[in-house]
Amino acid sequence: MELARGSTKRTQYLRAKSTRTQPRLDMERAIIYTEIYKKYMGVKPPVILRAMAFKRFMETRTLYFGDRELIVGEKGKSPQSAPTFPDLCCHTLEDLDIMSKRQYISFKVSDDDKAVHTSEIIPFWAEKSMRHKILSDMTPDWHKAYKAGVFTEFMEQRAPGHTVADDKMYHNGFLDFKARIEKHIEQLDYLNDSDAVEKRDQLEAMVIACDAIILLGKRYAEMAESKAAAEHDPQRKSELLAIAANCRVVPSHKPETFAQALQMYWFVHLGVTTELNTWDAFSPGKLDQYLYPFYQHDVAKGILTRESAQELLECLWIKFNNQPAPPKVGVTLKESATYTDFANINTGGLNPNTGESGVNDVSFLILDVMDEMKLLQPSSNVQINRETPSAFIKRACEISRKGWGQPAFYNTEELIQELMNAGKSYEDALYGGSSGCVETGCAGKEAYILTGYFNLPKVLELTLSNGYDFETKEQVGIKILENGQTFESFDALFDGYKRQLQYLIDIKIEGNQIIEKRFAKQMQAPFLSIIVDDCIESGKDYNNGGARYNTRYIQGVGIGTIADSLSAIKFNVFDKQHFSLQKLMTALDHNFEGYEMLHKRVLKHTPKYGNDNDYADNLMQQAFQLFYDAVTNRPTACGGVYRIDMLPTTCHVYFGSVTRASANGRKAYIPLPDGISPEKGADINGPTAVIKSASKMDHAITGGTLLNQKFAPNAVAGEKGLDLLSAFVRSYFLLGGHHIQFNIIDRALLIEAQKDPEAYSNLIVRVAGYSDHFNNLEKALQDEIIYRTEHQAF
Amino acid sequence: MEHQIFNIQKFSIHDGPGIRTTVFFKGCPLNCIWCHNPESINAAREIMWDNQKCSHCGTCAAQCPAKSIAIEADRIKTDLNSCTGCETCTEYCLSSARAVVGKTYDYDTLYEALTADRIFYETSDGGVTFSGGEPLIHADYLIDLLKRLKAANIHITVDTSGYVPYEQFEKILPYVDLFMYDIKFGDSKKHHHYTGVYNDIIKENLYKLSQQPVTIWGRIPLIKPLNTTDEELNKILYILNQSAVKDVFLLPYHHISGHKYRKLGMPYLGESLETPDQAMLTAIQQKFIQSGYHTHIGG
Repeated sequence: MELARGSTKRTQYLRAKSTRTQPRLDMERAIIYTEIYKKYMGVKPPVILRAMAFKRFMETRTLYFGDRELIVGEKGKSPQSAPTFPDLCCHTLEDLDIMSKRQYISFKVSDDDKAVHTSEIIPFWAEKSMRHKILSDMTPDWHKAYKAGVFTEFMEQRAPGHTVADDKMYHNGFLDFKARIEKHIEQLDYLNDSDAVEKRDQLEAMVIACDAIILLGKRYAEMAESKAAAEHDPQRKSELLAIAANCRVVPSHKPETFAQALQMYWFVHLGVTTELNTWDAFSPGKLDQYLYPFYQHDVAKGILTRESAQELLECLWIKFNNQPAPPKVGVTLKESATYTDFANINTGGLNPNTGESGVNDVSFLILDVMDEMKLLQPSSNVQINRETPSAFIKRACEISRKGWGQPAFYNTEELIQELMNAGKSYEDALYGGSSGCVETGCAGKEAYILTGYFNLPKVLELTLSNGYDFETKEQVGIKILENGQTFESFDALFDGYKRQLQYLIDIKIEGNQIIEKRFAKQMQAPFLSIIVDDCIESGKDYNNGGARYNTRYIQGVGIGTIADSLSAIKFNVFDKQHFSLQKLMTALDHNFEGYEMLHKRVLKHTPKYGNDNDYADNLMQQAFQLFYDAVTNRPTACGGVYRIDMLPTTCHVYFGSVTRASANGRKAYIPLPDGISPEKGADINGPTAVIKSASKMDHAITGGTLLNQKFAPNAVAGEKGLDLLSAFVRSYFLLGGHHIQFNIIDRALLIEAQKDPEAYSNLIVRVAGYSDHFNNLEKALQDEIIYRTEHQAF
Repeated sequence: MEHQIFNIQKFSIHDGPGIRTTVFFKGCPLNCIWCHNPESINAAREIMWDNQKCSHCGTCAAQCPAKSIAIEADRIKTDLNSCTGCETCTEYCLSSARAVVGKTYDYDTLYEALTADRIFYETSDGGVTFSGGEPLIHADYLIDLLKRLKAANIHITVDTSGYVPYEQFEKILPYVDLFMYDIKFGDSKKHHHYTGVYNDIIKENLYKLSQQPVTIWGRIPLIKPLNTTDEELNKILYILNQSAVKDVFLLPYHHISGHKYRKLGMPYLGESLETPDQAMLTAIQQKFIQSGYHTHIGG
């Protein structure tokens, strides 16, 4: 039986409901959008049409108002119901069947929903959805590379998103925003500005979107008032009246209290994530710092205590957890096989106004809430910098040590440097944080849009096969060599890899450009545009380059595999001449079967990334630089630039499944390493060596990197363990690392490690007077440690 | 004299404060029956061979450039006199059944290895630990290296059995921040019986060292039943009471090294020894605390 988590009976109740409800599809949004599209498509300009559908949705949608709630609003009709977005992706009936039956990430679909989907949704949207348009728009070369698993496409069933709010919603209500937008409409210069008409449409759409969210607040206020009138329990009655009062203030006006600030954020969150399915990666940013003035104000006034603030925050946490990510299918599901919405809350860091440590009482409160709630959503992270008090980092380590990976740790100084390298002003960079997984962005001022993962080891596979993909049986890449030719030197091979990479990146970017334009013209986000600078000033949509900064990312996956594979070739074929390239390629074709000696050489006797070994680490740097050069600073279709980051979500598993054996000894179809982590089993020199290797990558020129580290619980036990973890984080960050998170391993994993020692050769356990790699220990000793661990695992 | 190192352990967190890199030297004047690192006793290079993993394929012998390996009926014999330690055999061993124990380093390589994790020393108040074997028998070899580490402001710990001429301590004393000093028995005869040497020199050196401005931690391996009786512990406390030791680390014995003896072809005499249970550990810890020591369990 799961422990009842929650600091009060109320949050225990709400949390249990959130975690025990099966996710289901919710057709209401689809139906309302279809109704408006049918009526006004071709009648109204697209951006106005989008805003009208959004307003209609807020006006007529079912409002969920749960028992005992203090913060109100759901994306769907109830907790765990996920609206569909046929405007983006019109699921087939088969999709719905798969969704409801699949073992992982399933969504219940009722027969009624299926009937509506068949009669109303599919006939209208099948050829109008963005997915259909995008897939029909792409070239045969794009399709071949996509099918081969060279890259994925984020916008294939989801909208550009992944953005973070700043503090403007705590200083402005939507009536204030509306007034500002109207002023900009008045000031349009039709005589001299050739874009004035487009700007007018955009700004008018934003006005409609303001009205829409105001309506939602008003409807909730009325609902709370009528519920209060019918309520007999005086306690609940007063709570309902308080909710009503809050919803009379926000989102029309700026919030005045802590509770109103949370409700304001939540209304905005619902607006952004139902207007479009921005992969739901919409996050509140530096929540501790935005909330702190309200907290201070309320506590001083005597209307809030630390305990009641914690309960309210827990209510918000549950709200996040109530929203499963939009249902995904196909490759998009494979690259992001999770219900997680990727809302990511930044705690700690620097105060954007003063540039000094931003850690305050609410920061610690958020850590307590994270610890108490133990929910996968919202994901929470801490930003660490030179000014971070050690009490804060130690408390974060204490929670992290509990072994479920939260909070993740981010390096504030590096984040700022990354943002400034990408052209942000220092003032704006101070608003920076991470969102989604590890992506750097400038809160409330930037459209930073991830466009897809890129399979680096597959590029090497295609280089060696002269562009031919043996899995799909298609010529996917370019032919670098003439018939009968081979790579005579490592430099020649590396140059071939470079050309193949450039060719495939070009295909990806070409596709991106088309998709970007399609969204700019047909799939605007006028609501999101209200709260992102400078969409109002420029009169341009968030999806049309309206933000102050516009960045598009391609995310590299498998840097560990590519570094080690290059090392295996350079070291064994060209330096030591242990075997020929031809022989290696034959071994790869046979997945090393019958080539055990060669396999052992590339696996065990070749320099590997992750060991603080310059031979391999230099190759990692070269491969990284190549990827950087192929992408960075190329122009996007709407006036932004391309950049790279190094993160996988779950795509390393998918990419692994389409990638044959690699020269580093990785067997065919095995997952690639996650983020910038070394290949599984390659890092045998302990965690400090991993940190050293990983920090040889220039994180500051990326938009984020991801590093996972595993520890056995007893390696970081006790007060000393917290000091060690803190020091570990600080060391990585002093060396310029962007992000790190810990897996503190439990008994089940140790058993797994025992069954599959190769995959866990970097696992460290405390033995007796020393620590050792688990894999280095004899079975009897492993058993002893497993037994010991069980004693500690409670 | 040979200066063989059998392990350089990074992220060493139980051999002194903070995150450390520990160098394990080969060669020890003691021969404790419970030794956790039997490969540290012999000062010369050795081969560890795991008969459970070995497939007797003969590749190691075929590949050995010095022709030092002979395949016999049920064992692989390595002639250590002709072996150069090149590790070709382990490179070719598909079953990972062989390991060469003992490598020599030039100063630059060793210094580089020991300073690679400096950033971790700085953030965790860690440093470098010299252990073994007995690192003090390598004092002459260490002097220049310690000077360099000291100049780089790196915290230096030496883990010693104390059984060396005091001059060995004096040679490196100016560079060492912390000694971890093993006290195994108070009773000299028992000491001789179980470790092969009497403890007079160990005691004398401890008292002399206590006059010096250097921190000393006492480390006591708790080998049940050999030194866990009240009588024996009182004798150990008697020694500690005359020293400058303030922190004591109790290291409970574990049956973890039997396999190493097997791989080295050495007899293991520790079978009958026991790990003290939690109640006993707590009682002993209390005893030391009552005698005024900061007492920790574990390294």
